[in-house]
Amino acid sequence: MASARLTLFWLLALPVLVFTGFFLIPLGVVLVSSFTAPEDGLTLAHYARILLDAYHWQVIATTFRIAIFSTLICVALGYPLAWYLVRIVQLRSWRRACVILLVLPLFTSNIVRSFGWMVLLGRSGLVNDALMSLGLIDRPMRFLGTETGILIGMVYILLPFTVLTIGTALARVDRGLEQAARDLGATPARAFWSVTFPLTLHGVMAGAIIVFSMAISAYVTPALLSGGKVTVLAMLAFQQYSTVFDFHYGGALSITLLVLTLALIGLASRMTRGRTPGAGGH
Amino acid sequence: MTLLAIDDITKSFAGHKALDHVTLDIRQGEFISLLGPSGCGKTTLLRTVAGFMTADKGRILIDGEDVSRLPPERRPLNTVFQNYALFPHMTVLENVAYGPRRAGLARAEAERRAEEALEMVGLAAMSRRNPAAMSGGQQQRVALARAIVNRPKLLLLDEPLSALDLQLRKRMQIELKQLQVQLGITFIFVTHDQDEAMAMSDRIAVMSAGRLEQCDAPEAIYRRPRTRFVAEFIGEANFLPLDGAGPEGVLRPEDLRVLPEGEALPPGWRGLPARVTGVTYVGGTSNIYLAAGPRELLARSYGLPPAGMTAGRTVQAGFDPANLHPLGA
Ligand SMILES: Nc1ncnc2c1ncn2[C@@H]1O[C@H](COP(=O)(O)OP(=O)(O)OP(=O)(O)O)[C@@H](O)[C@H]1O
Ligand SMILES: [Mg+2]
Repeated sequence: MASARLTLFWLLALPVLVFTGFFLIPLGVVLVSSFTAPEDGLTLAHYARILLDAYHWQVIATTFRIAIFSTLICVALGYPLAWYLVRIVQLRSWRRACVILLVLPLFTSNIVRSFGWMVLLGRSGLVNDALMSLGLIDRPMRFLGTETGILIGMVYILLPFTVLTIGTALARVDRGLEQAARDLGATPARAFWSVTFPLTLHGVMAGAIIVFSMAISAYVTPALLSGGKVTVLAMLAFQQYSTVFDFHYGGALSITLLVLTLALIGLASRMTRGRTPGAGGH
Repeated sequence: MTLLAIDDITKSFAGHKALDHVTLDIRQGEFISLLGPSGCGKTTLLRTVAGFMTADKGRILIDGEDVSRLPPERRPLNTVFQNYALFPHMTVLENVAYGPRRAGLARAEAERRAEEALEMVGLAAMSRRNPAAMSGGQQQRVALARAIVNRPKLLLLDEPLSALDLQLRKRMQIELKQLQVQLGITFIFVTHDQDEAMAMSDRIAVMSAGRLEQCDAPEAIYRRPRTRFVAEFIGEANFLPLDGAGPEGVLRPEDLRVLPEGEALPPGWRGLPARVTGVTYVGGTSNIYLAAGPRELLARSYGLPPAGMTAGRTVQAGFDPANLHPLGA
């Protein structure tokens, strides 16, 4: 009896310890340092420096713009891709090959992949070559150092997440439900929007949240593809830590990013919950 | 008047014929059961009529109009699916109002119709519930309400009762039949259960291996089966030569009488010597299994089996030749 209770204690205590040790303590350290200064103790000066300054708001806007567009594009591309994998591919081995192809890049380093895109997106890179030979453009487009370039790199890295979460949700939707909708007079598009899509919304949301939080805190891809011409919050924070060694100001940047992110995700999930009554359990 | 004409439908899956030249005319207001062993093509036929599948050959006509090329949403019929296929993200009311909404009604009017349909199946009080929070029988009724709310001319039901327990099933059989008569909707009802088909149908269509074997009123199917398959599939059958030798006829077990050896037969009856191989007494009827030469026969009568009717005894099996129905007629 006593030993059983002890086991239970450790079973509960270990995850709590790990969670505290790996997540809460580092976060606490950052939080505390963001509210303190070496000379005059508790202060809001770092936040004031961020929130009362136009340049910072500009960086925040860029960061959110890139993250939101990455999310929208990943969902918009991920849904049809997931549909293709789940609904159209009949051959099981081909589906498996597609999934492997999709996940494989996740196992290689972010840096390597971003360098790859640097090469591809360059003035005489593969992308410009292709666009020119197709006659779509007649002068090379500038991708590197633009938000478009960063977006391309981000979408490439983050797309698998939405494909996987949406695909999982889609595979669980009973196709008989769509047939029932058609039987009751819905066109294929109607059946999709009124039945299939709401039933996969939790997968869309899960994918969107993963992509958004990874995009908003991304450092490597924006840093490599920005060519120093675009700055996002994570780059700013990293500079404070690595070159200026200002942990307090850097911490405040990180916390600002975190709070804004959580606020946006909270807002988004509240909005979608309002729109699908009774979808809670599915 | 013919409502639905299934005209020479053939459908193959990878060379296997799921439907083989099926032709069937169904009248307005009829209750037709599709009966047949698993895999004989009942669901395939229903899906072809509903428009979820296109036939390789043949046509589907509703009210004289060829609907073979129309998508499901444009066919004037509705379906009750075997697993009900209720929308899990909608309330019961929203499920039932889905059809009227697609027919272009405003939300308020659609919901009023839905309430009416729910009333009809006795679920008016549960309209705000989630389908997942209902019993199988209740979900069944929701599916039914959803399918009849638009008052289709034709309702297709694919084994709608198969997931229910026996008692509920019997009750639903009666309610379904009442609803069908009340609304005057034509029902095509797929079932595995021959008693169910016998009890509910105006006509029964018996299928086997993609072919329509026979479509007739229940008593005609039972009394005058056209093929050996139908005779064996519906009820139990003895097969005996029509006159001494030659083609065989069907004799139902209740028309076969077991008499002691040497007893005189009623005038005009035929008798053959047989040996009792087994006797059972089930549900108020007794079954006597006989062997007449190489033939196995079954005689059924109400009440207890006659005294001394034990395995091994030699008897005579007698019947009125008028009850011996020739196959193929
Ligand atoms: N989509 C399909 N692809 C390939 N074969 C199919 C398909 N649908 C049905 N079949 C085959 O067609 C035949 C008829 O199937 P169907 O589902 O119509 O039978 P059923 O009479 O409804 O059987 P059950 O009583 O078991 O429901 C079966 O041999 C089945 O394997
Ligand atoms: Mg079936």
